[in-house]
Amino acid sequence: MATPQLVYSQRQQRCRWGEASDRDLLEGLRGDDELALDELIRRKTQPLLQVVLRILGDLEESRDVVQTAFLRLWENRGRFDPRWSPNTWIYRIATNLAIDQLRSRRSRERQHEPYRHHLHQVTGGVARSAGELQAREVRAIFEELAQELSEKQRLAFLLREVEGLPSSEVAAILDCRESTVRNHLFNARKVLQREIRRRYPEYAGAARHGEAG
Amino acid sequence: MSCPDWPALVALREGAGEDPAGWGEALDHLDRCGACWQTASAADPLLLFRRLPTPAAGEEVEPMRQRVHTLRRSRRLGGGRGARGWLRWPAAAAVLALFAVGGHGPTPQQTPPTAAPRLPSTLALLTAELAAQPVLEHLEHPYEQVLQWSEDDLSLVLVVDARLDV
Repeated sequence: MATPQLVYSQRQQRCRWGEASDRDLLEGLRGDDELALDELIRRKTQPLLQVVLRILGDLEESRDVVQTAFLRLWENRGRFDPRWSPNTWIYRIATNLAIDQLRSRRSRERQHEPYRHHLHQVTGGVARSAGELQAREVRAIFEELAQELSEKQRLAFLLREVEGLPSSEVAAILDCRESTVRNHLFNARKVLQREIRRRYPEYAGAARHGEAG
Repeated sequence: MSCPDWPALVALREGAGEDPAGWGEALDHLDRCGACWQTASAADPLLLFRRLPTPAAGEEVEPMRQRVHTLRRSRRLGGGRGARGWLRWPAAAAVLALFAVGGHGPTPQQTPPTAAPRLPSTLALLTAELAAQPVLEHLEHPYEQVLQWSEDDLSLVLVVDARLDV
């Protein structure tokens, strides 16, 4: 009864990988174990997709990037150095691919009209509070303002401020020092705050004008 | 948790350059509390970007697993950048050398051999690669074949005569 034994064995192996650490999974990958890849996909799809979606803003494009990141992980499985943090390695592959995608997209696109025009059409010209904005509208505002940032500033802001990763991990992902991350972050925040107050004052400073509850 | 004092909390964070104690809990509260959005976004307008899109939890894993394995298999079958990829250029060079030498070497036998010919050493090395390539057509002799060898950035049409011994 070869087939039932094989299924049982695979199920056991899946259970074993389910309890393994990320580092063990990467070791499993180095041993060409496809079930270890399955477990990594199960664990990392959601967080990777979230980061990449926040970089790119397009879900289908983000799926393609994450898929390619897993494939790169598999194809380069022999190169993983056990001294590295698995999370950092995986995030670095995915964010680098996302930035490549962003560059190729930018080279295809012309400078688009500021989002304000569209937003006013959507809301009928009535400004809404920050709490009422939909995710896609926030996305469009970010996309417009982030044009003012360098790639590193954009990544540092998203990984640190939006994803909440510690500075040390952001530094490892961006392959730079923590002090450089803090510098990127400081500049990114300054630019974004200036631009949001200039272009979208209704979402930045209501309390200062006595509108806050 | 009651609504935090956002202006004080944001000022504390900006002054320290890192997250103050309780920052994570305050953000969790912010995500649920409509009233806090007004004061928090006034104190730090960039908190708005916490509302950037998030993929639906749990719905992406199985489709992603299938996409990755499908792509992996198609790359392996296509011979793209897989384990055999490194063989492309040396193999192509060897085949070209084979033709160069063959063209100036002794005239091949004109009569078909009665037994299967011994594969020349160069061809023996390439057999595994060539066997995977589609045969476009057979020439007069069964050991003469026209093969197409396509890779990502390489496309060769090869005329191979298995009787040549270099």
